[in-house]
Amino acid sequence: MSVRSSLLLLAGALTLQGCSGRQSILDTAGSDAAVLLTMFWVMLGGLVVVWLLVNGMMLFFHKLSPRKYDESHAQKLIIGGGIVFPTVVIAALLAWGLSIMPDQRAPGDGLRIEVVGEQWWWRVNYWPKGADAPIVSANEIRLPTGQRTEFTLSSAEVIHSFWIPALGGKMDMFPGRETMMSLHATEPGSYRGQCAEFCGASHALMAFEVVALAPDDFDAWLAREAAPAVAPTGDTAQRGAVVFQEQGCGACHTVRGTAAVGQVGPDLTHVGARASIGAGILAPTIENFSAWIYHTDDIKPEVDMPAYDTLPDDDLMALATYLQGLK
Amino acid sequence: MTDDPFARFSGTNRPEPNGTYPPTEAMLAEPVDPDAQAASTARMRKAWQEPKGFTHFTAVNNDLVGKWYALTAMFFMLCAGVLALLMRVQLAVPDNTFLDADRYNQFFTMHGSAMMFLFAVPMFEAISIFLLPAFLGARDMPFPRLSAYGFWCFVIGGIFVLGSVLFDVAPRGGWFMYPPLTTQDMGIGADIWLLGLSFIEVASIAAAVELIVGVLKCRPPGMRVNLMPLYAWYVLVVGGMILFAFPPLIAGDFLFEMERSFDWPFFDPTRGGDPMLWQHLFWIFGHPEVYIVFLPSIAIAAMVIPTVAQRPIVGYSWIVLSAVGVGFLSFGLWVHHMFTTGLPNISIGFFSAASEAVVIPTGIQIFVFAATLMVGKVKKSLPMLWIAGALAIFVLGGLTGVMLAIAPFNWAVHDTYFIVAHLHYTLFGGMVFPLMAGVYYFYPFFRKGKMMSETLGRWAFWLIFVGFNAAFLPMHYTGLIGMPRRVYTYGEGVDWGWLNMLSTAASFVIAAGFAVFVWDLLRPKRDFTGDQRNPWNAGTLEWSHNVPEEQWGVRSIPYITTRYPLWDQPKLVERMHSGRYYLSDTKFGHRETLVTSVLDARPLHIQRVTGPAWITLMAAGFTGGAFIFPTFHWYPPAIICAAFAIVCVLYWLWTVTAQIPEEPTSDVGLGLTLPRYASGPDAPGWWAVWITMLGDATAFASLIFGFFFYWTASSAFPPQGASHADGLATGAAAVLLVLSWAATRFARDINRKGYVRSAQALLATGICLTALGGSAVYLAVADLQPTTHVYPAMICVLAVWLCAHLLLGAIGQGYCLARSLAGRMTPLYDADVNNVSLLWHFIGLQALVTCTVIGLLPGWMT
Amino acid sequence: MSTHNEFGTGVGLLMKITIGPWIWAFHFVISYGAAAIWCEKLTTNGDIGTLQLALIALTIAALAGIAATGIIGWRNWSAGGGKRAGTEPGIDTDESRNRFLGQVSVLLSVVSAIGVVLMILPILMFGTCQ
Repeated sequence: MSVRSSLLLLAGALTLQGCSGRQSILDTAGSDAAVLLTMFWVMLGGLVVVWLLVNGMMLFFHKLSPRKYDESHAQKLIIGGGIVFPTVVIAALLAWGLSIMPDQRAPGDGLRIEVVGEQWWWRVNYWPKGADAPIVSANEIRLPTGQRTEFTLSSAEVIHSFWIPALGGKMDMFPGRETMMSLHATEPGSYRGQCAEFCGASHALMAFEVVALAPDDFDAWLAREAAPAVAPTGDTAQRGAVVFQEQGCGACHTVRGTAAVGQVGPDLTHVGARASIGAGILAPTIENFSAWIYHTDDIKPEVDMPAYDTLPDDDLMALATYLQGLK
Repeated sequence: MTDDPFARFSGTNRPEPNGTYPPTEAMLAEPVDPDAQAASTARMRKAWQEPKGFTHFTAVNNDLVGKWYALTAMFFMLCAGVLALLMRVQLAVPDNTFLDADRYNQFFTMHGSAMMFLFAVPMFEAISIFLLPAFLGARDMPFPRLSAYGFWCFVIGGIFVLGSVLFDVAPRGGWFMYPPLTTQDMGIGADIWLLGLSFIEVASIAAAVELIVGVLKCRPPGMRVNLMPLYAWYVLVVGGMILFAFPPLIAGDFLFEMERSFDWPFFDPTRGGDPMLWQHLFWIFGHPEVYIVFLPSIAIAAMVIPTVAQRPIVGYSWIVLSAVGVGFLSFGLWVHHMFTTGLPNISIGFFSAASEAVVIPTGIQIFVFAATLMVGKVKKSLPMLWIAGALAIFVLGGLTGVMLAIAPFNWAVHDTYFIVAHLHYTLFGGMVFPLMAGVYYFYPFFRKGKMMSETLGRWAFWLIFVGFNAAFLPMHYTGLIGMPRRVYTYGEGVDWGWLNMLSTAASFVIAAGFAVFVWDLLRPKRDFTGDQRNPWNAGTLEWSHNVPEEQWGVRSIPYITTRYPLWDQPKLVERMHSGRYYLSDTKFGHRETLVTSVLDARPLHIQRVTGPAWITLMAAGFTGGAFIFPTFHWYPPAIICAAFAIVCVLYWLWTVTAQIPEEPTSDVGLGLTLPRYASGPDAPGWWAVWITMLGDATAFASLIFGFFFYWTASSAFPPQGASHADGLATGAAAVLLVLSWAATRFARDINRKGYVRSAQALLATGICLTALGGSAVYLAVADLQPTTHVYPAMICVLAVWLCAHLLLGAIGQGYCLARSLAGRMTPLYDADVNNVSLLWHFIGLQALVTCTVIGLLPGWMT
Repeated sequence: MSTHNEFGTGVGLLMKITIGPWIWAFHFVISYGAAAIWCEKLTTNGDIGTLQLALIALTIAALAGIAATGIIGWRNWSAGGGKRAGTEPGIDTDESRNRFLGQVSVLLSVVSAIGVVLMILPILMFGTCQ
């Protein structure tokens, strides 16, 4: 987003074209978000007009008014400005607002994604239509364009809120209760979502990448995601797989196709293919993998995963290489 | 017998007001005898003298307590402001490490909590305690020691809560404290928040009681409801709102602390609890709270604007409508803080509609102000500058509020910086700016003729106004491009950096503005020579004040026939100060004020008001102990403190309230003779009991709401095969407690008829019945295990609530018995038993409802 | 001069001006409670047709009640020649006070009626519990 366009906003101008924010309500890529954005612009226009009228009126009577007015004018001002005008405006606005609500919670067209908020990451299970078991992933949402995807949301311990600004509104995630929303992506592309309900020390560091794909691309990706992990290639990566096992990583993490079947932390079967690690905070480079393993608590305060800061450097590098290779 | 003035009266034949009312113009025109005036002035000075030296802190005069209260609230506000600046520094650049996550979370939690609980609401109470008696031409608040007690509770609680930041143990779950995050928190921060703020909430309710009674019963003769200064209308509405808004939070705090301390699973979904209940209880408080903060500030504007326009407000009734209307509608908005929790569309729709409807009364308020300026001749002044700034800011906050009330748009921007911007626009425009206008406007009243600097005032205004808009206007945009609230940092990749840098820089401009303001407020103004009584040429009664200062409030209590008496009643000020009006003397050296009727302010009786005492300080200290020790799970000292607090309060009541007067009636001047004692609905104390118990009943209703909430929210409440409260014991408790209730009520009636011994016997029986009833309640729930599931926990919590009230009821019965035995309560002077019998109406009803809910309801629910 | 029942008549008359808002409040709470109980306990398929009918009936009753309060207030307000309360001379009379209370209850009825009318939108615009 450019400095120029924001200055225009400050000046009360109404254009914000050209924003490139991946986490912006103003840069929509879904039909729900587009409806909300239209509504926003209309309401903003009304806001500016009403604000100028009210404050202009105050300024006029306070500073500029050449004469005193009669009290019957005052009565008309109160009735017109205080009752009639706002009643008409808010009734219309309310009707419009209520009318778009059912669409935003319409059932999905097929794919259902189950997301469970954890402190501070996301468990993501894909349920294609008719599936008996989910395809398990984490910390990234991929969804097909051109159809409505349903989300069932819940949480493990505390309340979170699931939000992809470019696609639509948000919905809270509760422990012991399931909430539902649906999103309809229209533009293929990559976006960012973030937890919107305060959920503890590292609330700020609980985000995720969102990738909207054309339906065929999505199906292909889902098939890859469903497959077990690729075997490590190269000496370093193979050594890394051994370190992974020796250090007991599998007690918490699953890498499908290996002995690691832990359920405590995120599934790592295809972690190297994701656009971020640490729940939307680091790019998936080998350096970042090793930094994360070595300094978990520095990078994400109070996280459950212990910092492996006694791991020898070459073991650490091997482990990072192995994980990064889990495409 | 003729020389015994008491012999003419009995419990069924009570003294009544007697003589001429209203006074004639001829009576008012008659000059006051200078010798008599000098003598009575000396007596009045002595009675109202504030204690000097070390005992200064025992003072209870409303102007002193109000001043301390306001300065303390301002100090807490400045502290919370510093926390905000530190947070802004942390957010200035991406990936900043100035504050770590935990400390940032403590700071934002304390910033919100302190601004709301330690500044906004207490500041309203402070200003009202300071100004309300002056608006009403009263000598003091009806219960000065209660104000002082509330103030000291506030000081202790505030220091305790805010001080926790210095020890790195402050609450860190947000000012909304959502469980399960906060119930699972291992630190003591959450307990500090719950107990410390509950303690302050109790003080707020005490202030609400005082202010409601003050407005309804302590107006000057002739000031009918349609003549009250608008501020009084707002205080009345806000007092009522506090009574219905704070108790749900207190009930929620109670459940929350029971979960944290004793593991009763109210918000734990694994054992049938539900975190949504807390959200409901918190926001049933939290949204009206916003208006509790907003209305008194707009009330200041309603006092300033007529003065600025030099004419009466246009549409007095419209302002009353808007205050009352906002008071009601604000209770239908709470779910708009919960639009994203997945409630059914139709429920969300109801709250969306009500959230829009509140625009109407709020808007009317602003148009009334505009209309008044329109028909008046505006005098430009510093207070008006702040009011104009307030409207510019508030209208924007209000309009973004209209947007946010539209649920789907709310789903988009909820919990983003758009909300941070919106709420600061409403609070700065709706609270801070009008408050500042009030400080500049009333400063000559505070400092008896001295004024604040025009130049510094303009500097402060423009620094704060420009700084505020530069800091918060961009935040709307920051939120729209995706920045969530309550994040301690953000990465490089999201483009929020320069916007945050702008907000941070501007926040220091705001701080500079406040620095200028505080300096101007506190700087010595020795060089100031002006000593005008009424520098703005205002029309309301507070500007009749004493310059130089006197401690008696008003020299004599005036007779009022207009809305702006200083404009419309010539000679009023002169007559007030010469002691021409009512109660210009104190025959027995007591502090006294007049009590008048609710609608038309006809004089009813003379009310003795309390003077300085250590006991209020001690009571506040022990109450503090009772709330603070449980934070550290030190229960024995907490119980000891609670017991001492009760003893202090009883001593305080025993020694100064409902004292048998020296004579049954006294002359108050202008040919009017009034009783010196009142009991039942005539007595302010009875009203205080009524109002307090209304708040108490609201808290109780919130617990009952919880019971039904669990039933609707869960298919397993009560769970299958659960053990229930023992039916026989529950039934026995209901019968015993109804009998105790009847005994108290009957004791009141026969005491009045002169059967003192029988009344004493009934009261003693009542105590025994209460004790037996309490035991039956205990037996009914003794076998339940409240930690296993929310159903037994809910039953037990109702039983605990009831037993606490039974203890209170038994103390009340015992107090009346003791007063009767000591001869301090007689058939004629029977305020105590009237108040306790009123108390028992509430306790008796709560007992019946409790027994029904725990004994019968589970059967119907399954 | 004789004392009257301060609590009954004094507060009673004062509270009368709030009848309109109280009707709004009851209408609001009953609508919200009924929707919650209907959707959680009484319906199996999420249909809210019956609920809508009941709430419309409630709304009509509420509006009738508010109208009645408004009319009574109007009569009090216009008693004595319909002068605007508070601006005429002799403001310190029982009649003036009654006109004031009448006017405020009319105005509050208007606001309450708007509040209730806006509730019709959510009652009618959704067909299901979701």
